[in-house]
Amino acid sequence: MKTLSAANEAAAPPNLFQIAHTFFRIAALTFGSGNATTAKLGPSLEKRGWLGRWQFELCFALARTAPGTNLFAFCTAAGWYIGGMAGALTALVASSVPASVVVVLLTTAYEAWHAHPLGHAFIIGAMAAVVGLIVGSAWLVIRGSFTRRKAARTSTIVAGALLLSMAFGATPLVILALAAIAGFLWPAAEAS
Amino acid sequence: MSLLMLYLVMLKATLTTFNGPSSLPVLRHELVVKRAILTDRQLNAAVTAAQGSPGPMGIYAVSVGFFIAGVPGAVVGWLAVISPALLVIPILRYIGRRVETPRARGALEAVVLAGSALVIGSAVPLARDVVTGPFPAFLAVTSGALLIATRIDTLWLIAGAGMLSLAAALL
Repeated sequence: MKTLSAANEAAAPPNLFQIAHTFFRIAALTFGSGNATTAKLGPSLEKRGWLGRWQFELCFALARTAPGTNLFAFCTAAGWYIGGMAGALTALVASSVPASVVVVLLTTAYEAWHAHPLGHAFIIGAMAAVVGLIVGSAWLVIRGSFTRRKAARTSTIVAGALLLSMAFGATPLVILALAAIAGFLWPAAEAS
Repeated sequence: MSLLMLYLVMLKATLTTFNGPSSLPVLRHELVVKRAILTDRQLNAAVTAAQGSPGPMGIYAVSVGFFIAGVPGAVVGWLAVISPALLVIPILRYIGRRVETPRARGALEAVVLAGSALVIGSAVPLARDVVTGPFPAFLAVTSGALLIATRIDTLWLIAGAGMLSLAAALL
């Protein structure tokens, strides 16, 4: 299986330890979001000659079409290009373990401190901020589809999903399935 | 709930959504509303922990698993988060070009939009739990506005809100 592009053939294929080290280091040290990690991983992999520009773009685009977390799909796709199935699994594990460990530690800290008055005050403030961040991050995704041509379609889908969920109690899976059907039957103007 | 069942429930949430946060409504429906093995407070804490960690917000499922079943639950949550990523390989190999058709892209975009709308809806019960007065409301609105309008890292927004809340409690 040819996993490296012609442009990268000059570079020696990395071994699994090198793949694990690179993905682990960047995943462990990049805060912000999955997009921030992807933005750092891409140039780093290109600089090493492990991934061509077009491969990066293809991995980035297809990771958004795969179910689940985009960053992990990107790392799996990039790892597959770099080192086949073993590379994909190595990149996936190396990129997901650091955040998982930190999350467990933070959850443990929450359980230890949420009953303490000062710890409780800090946690409540942080949680209130997260409520705003959840809404804000969802809006950032929606905002990109509020172009002049797509505004009616976007508004209909967003309002319809909210209405079905909050007024009629429809389950998320039903709403997502209906959205997929609606999107299939009513493609975006730019795409047609 | 057995670990296998927990994995399947969490996998259902991660497999049927197209980015990390959009699994939130599905998980809340399954674990908070339907099975009552998680509280809104714990779900909010899980999201907070994920926002404070490196990497994607979808990793909050690890914290959810930890709340429900300790370290084994965290491992189950981790497996549920990473399992769908493997599907990108057949997509990459076989159907990459077909996904580019306008109707397929339209369906995908609609799912992402509906998922984002559901994420906004899922924030309402979380807000009821912690936004109990003007000051927490101020923190929530300010954090959301700063996320949209600036490039400040979410880690600092969460830490800043926590410190302001702590200062208010001390005063």
